[in-house]
Amino acid sequence: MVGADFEALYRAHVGQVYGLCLRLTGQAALAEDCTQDCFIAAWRALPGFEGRSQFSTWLHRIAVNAVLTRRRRGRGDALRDAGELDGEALQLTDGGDAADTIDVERALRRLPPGARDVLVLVGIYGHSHEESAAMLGIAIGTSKAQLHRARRLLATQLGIGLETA
Amino acid sequence: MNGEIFGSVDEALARLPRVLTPARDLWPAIAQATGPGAARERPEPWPARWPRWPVALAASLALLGLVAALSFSVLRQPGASALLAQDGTASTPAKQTRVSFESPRNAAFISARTALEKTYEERLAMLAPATRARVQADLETIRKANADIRDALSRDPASPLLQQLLRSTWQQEIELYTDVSQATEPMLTRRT
Repeated sequence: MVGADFEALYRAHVGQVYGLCLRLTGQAALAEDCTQDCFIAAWRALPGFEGRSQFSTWLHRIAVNAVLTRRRRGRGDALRDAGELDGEALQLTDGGDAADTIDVERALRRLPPGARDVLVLVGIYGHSHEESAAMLGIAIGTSKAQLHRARRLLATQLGIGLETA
Repeated sequence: MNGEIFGSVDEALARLPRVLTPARDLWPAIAQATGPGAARERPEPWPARWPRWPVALAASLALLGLVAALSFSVLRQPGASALLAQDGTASTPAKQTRVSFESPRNAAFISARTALEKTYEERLAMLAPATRARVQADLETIRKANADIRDALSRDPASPLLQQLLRSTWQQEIELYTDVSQATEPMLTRRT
């Protein structure tokens, strides 16, 4: 019964966690490993979840930690350098326009890691700078500076403006 | 070229789906690592307060997770106005089947929620039929999940996870109302 309950939580959240990991790592196989690490760590930590933050925020924090741990081990860099984020890795589930969004995903992947991490957390997944800074282990000011840098670089790469007119 | 597709970085990011599907099912390896055989390796036994949720709740939670990937993302597309009814006329919305829904007993919240729900019901007819059906189905999913979670909470009232999940259903309902309101705003602007 407990397994079925946890599987329901997994099914409800795996898409967001995998999407987050894929954008942070840029590599499908590594993102799958990080997603599995995340849910196993979440299962172990669930007794300590006290509801002080949203469950999805709590889960994202664990996912980011899984990505950072893999990076520290060095596997992440090697895999990231070897792989190219392709359309196959981006199996969209909501009918998005694949051609347009893959352009953006590729531009995201070309960003410097620090800037990309903040852009993914704040710009795509809607976390605050406080949450982003806590997840990444950086200062809030650094998070803000990295977001500004990432948005500027992305705008240049895509040939578009920073904000909607 | 991208400037014609995306007006800005904000629009480009808003169009990216938050939910992506892994190429393979990751659950078997997770189930193996968290199954009965792995329990001995855990530092602490599974806590007694872990709720024994009914299957209905599990199904509701799984569907609730998908809601964010469906109508929310559709309504938040920069070109969401294209999802409005083609003739711009307000047709009669399909009759909704109401599931009992309980909100937090906070006067400010109730007032804000009532106002948003009223706007939602007024503007629902402005959406294209397919979008409207999806939005209505998602709202029913949110309300069903809310009912199932409250049922589980009646058996396990101290569960912080269930309490948080309950709050998330209120939040998702409000977000859905807000998204419908924002998506239909351009239509109202064009009429004036």
